[in-house]
Formats: sequence, structure tokens, C-alpha cells
Amino acid sequence: MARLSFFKGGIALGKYIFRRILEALPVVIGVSILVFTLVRLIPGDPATVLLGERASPENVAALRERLGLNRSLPEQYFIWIGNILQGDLGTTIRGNVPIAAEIQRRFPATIELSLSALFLATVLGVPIGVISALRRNSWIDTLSMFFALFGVSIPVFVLGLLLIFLFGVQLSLFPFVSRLDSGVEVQAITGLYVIDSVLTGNWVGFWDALEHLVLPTLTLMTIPLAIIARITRSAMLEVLNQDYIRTAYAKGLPGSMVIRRHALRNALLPVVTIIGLQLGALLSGAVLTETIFSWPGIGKWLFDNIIARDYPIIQAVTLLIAMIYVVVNLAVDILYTFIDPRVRNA
Amino acid sequence: MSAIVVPQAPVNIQHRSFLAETFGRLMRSPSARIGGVIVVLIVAISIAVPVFDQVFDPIRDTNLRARYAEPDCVFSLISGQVSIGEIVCEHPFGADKNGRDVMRRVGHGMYVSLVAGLFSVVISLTIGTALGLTAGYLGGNVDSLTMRVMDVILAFPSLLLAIALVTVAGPGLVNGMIAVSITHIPIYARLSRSMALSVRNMEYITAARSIGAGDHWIVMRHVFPNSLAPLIVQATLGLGTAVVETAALGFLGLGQQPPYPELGKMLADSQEALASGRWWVMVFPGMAIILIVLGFNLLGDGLRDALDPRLRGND
Repeated sequence: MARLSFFKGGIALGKYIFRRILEALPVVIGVSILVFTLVRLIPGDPATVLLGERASPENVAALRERLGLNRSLPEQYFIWIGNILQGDLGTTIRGNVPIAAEIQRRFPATIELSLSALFLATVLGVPIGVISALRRNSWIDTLSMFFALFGVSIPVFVLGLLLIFLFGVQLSLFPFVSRLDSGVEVQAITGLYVIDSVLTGNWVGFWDALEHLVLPTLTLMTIPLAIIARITRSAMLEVLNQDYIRTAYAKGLPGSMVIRRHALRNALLPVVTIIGLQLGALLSGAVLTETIFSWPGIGKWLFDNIIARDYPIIQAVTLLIAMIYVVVNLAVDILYTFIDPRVRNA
Repeated sequence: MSAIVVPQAPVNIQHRSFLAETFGRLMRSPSARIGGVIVVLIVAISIAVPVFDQVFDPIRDTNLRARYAEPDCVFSLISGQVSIGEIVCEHPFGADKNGRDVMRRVGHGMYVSLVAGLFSVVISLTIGTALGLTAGYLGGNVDSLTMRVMDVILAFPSLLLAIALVTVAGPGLVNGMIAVSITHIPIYARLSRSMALSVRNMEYITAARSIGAGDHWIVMRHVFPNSLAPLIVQATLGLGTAVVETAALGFLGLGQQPPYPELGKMLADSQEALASGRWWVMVFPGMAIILIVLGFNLLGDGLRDALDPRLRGND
């Protein structure tokens, strides 16, 4: 009997996941159409726009052929999508380099920065929120919520410059340019230097990579930290008012158990969603943070090519980040069903 | 025929208007009070700036003899460089690499930021609300099509989409403003749609329809006023975001073009001065942005507590 209901539950879960993926498909298609259309909105011949003004006529003719520019717009879209699905994101205007390879080379730097920011924001934000809720209206609560409000109000580029000035220039505590000092090298395995240096036992590289990571991470994590702390606090406050918490106390459970097993578990549901949503903010925050700290990820790459109007790069990076955002949100939704059975039965 | 007796309203019941009550509620929250003071201050500076512009031109202000002049006035007094008798107030916030007065440029930048933020919120609020109310009230295919388009816009991190739009349209303050407003449309559309859905089947809507009111009338007179409170809260909070994002575009070189002062661009230009310890070129524009965003966030938080119907009656 128990097995059977488990089996039924499995089917329901599978159906739910399938439905969510189906729902995400139109968004994915819409995103790709929007990104495709953006470059077509630029006045002039798309092949010339994509190759730059100084491209040779042969190259322009070759690209016209490859993009099928003589065909109808829908056909061009399908050719473009087909190329992308085969891993062909086009080539850059300056240098004519394949974009997919460039992204592969730069992406680990962005991942290292975003993940360390998200990790620290979660590890610090959740306890701060919980403590604020438990000690509601105490000085800890007031202080942390003031800083949380300040945290969401300070733009990434202001905070980054302030940190550079205080800890980089005035106190000379941390480096604030690039990922490693010149002369220090880390053999790339995952591309995340902090992990790679541990794997290869390169402790000089480890400390150097870690030091370089401090200021950009602090900059990027502030907004997510503030948001996670605020959401955790309000979710916790709501849960603490529920009847089952009173019941748990009434049946004599120790306070720490009530909080960990009954309150926190339920309060974390909205927090999981928020953490997922923060990734999108992190990826766009990364453009600014990487620019300020000359961090060689895709954000810095995007910035370097905005002014040069290297459209294929802008198109590819925009598409990539939007797709990551959609997939992460989908993953969070699905993860949610494992944490909260009420969702999949709804 | 006996006259119909019209019941008279009891005279002694204290009746306060919705506005008066909301304002009273708002003023009880400390965050709203602080936010309100900051916002009034910012608005006052922004109104004063164009007037002073007639006297001081922030663009042709270059004075190479004052290149990177340190903040004088209050700051030189605090750092003990001068005594109170010999105080000068030529550049209270110092000067930048072209010898332009930082205080004047910050004041001007605040004006530009506020106007840009205000415009982009008004655009996204108007379009978003119109789309959301229509979709929610009409339902069906109109609803699903509109909301799918909104989902697509929401699938982009907003700053990233704004960057892409401005790159295509060309850099500049107006394009930046429009780009930021486009990325914010879905927020207002979703909000007003959910409000429209929640009131659509209320009895007073059915009543209005039964006396022959048209769709347009019902949406404008019944649905819209009832979704106003959350929209006001969202717009206030959204103003802070819009200011940050237009400044971020400026920082990336996609917003207001030089030599016209804009806070984000000023911060981007301050990077080289920072390395040599000239903090004032960065700190004052940075503080100005923080002040604007903090002000609207505080006010928005206070407004939410004062206006949110779910919280009403709890105190």
C-alpha cells in the first residue's frame, strides 16, 4: 500500500516536472526571438552590422549565405537557432574569433565570482534573518534590518569603488585588479582558480586567488545578502505565528528543536525561491562588478565590447545569461516540489 | 404622497478621508518619516539646480588651475587644515580632473537621475498597468498572449536587457530611460493583472455591468482605483531601482554623454583619481545615489505598511 502510494506520488511528480518544462518552452523561444530581433532592428544590412564596417565584400557575401539573408525572416531565425543548437554562436567582429570558445574560456571566472557571492550571501543571510526574527525588535534586529535596507540601496558600482578605495588603496589589504597577481599561475582544471589551486596543491596560487576574490565577492554579495536576510526574517516571523509552532511548544519540545525542525524548515521555502531569483541579479551585477575589478569573466567581456558595438558578442552573452536565468528558475521550481509536497499536488 | 425619509448621517462620527488616514498611518512609521525627509530634500535640490544653472554653467565650468582641488569649507575645517577665521568655500566637495566643481556637478547629477528615474517609472507604470488591467479584465487569449510576452521580458535580468536595448538604439539618456522602463513593464503588468483578476468577479463589478456600464468605464472607474495602492508602493520602490539602473548605464558609458554631469558617469570617471587617493571625486556622487535610492526605499517600505490592505486593521 505504502509502495503504491509512493509510486503514484512519483507519477504525479513526473507529470508536474513535465508540465513545468512545457511551460518554460514558450519563454525560451520568446527569449531567442527577442535576441534575434534585436540585432535585426539595427538599421542597415545585418551581415555588415555583424561583420563591422570594414569587412571585406567576400566575407560579407559568405555571411549572407550562412545566415540565409536572402530568405524570409522566419527562415533566417530557424537557421540562426540551428547554428546555436550546434554550438555555433558566430564570430566576433574584431578578430573574427569563434564566440563559443571565448565564452568557454571566460565563463569559469564569472561562475567563481557569482557562486562565491551567492554562497556567502546565503550562509550569512539566513542566520541573520532567523536571529532577527527570533529577537524581534531587539537591537540586533534593528541593526541588521537597517544594514539590510542600506544593502539593497547601495548600487554595486558605488560599493565596489568604496571598497577599492578603503581596502585596496588606503589600507592596501587586498588586490583589486584581475584574478591573480602577474607571475602567479594556476593550472586550469575546472577554471575556478580557488578550487584548481587546491587540487594541484598550489598554495601560493590558492592564497593569491582567494585574496583577489575578496573585494569583488563582497561587492557582489551585498544585495543578495540583504534580500535573503529580509526574506528569511519575514518568512520566519510568519511561521512563528502558526498554530503548529504553538502545538510544538505545548507538547514540551525544546525551543531549539521547535525552531530547527518546525519553524526553519517551513520558513526556508520562500527563501529557496529568492536565492534562485538572485542568480539573475548576480549575473547582471557581475557585468558591473567585473568591470570595476577588471575580472576577466563574460561580464567584463560584454562591457569591453559594448562600446565597440561588437553585436555578435552582445547577442550571444545576452542569450546565454537569459537562458541560464530561465533554467535556474525552472530548477528552483522543480526543487521546490521535493521540499514542499503541497506544490506538486496543487 | 408622503415624502421619503432620507436617513441623515449621524453628526458626531469622526470621518477622515482615505488620504488623511493613509497619511496619518504613514507618519507613524519611522522609516517613512526618514524616507519622506530625504525625498523632500532630493526634490528640493533637483528643483533648485536648474534655477542656479542660469548662474553657474556646469558644462563650461572647466578651470584647470583648480584641477583636483581638495574639498575646502567644512572639510578643511574638520581635517584641521584651517581655523574658522580663514575658511574658504570655493569647492566644498572639491574639484575633478578638469577643475570642475564636484558639488555643482553632484547637484546637477541628482537632478538628472531623479528626472530619468521619474520618467522611466511613469512610462513603465502607464504601459504596464494598461496591459495588466486589460489582460486581467478581459482574460482569455488576450490575457495569455500579453502575459507570455511579459514572461519573456522577465526572463532577462533587467539591467542586461537594458544594456542590450541601449546598444542597439544607441547610447544616451533618453534611450537609457526608455530601455530601463521597458524592462520594468512586466512588474506593473503582473501586479495590475492580479488586482484586476481579484476584483473582476466582485459583486460591485457585476452590479456596474448590470446597470449597463461598458468595459472601459468599469476598468477605469472600478478596477483601476482598487489596484492603486499596490501600484503606488511598487512605483515608489521602482523609482529607486530605475535611478540605479540609469546610473549603471551611465557608469557603463551608455547613458548621459559627457560633458553633461551624470552621477554614474562621474563615478566611472573617478576610478583613476581613486588610485591616487582623491576620494572626493567618487564619494560625493556615490553618496548622492545612495541617498536617492535609500530615500525612495524607505518611503516605499513605509507606504507599503500604510497602504497594504492585508496589513490594514492589524494595528
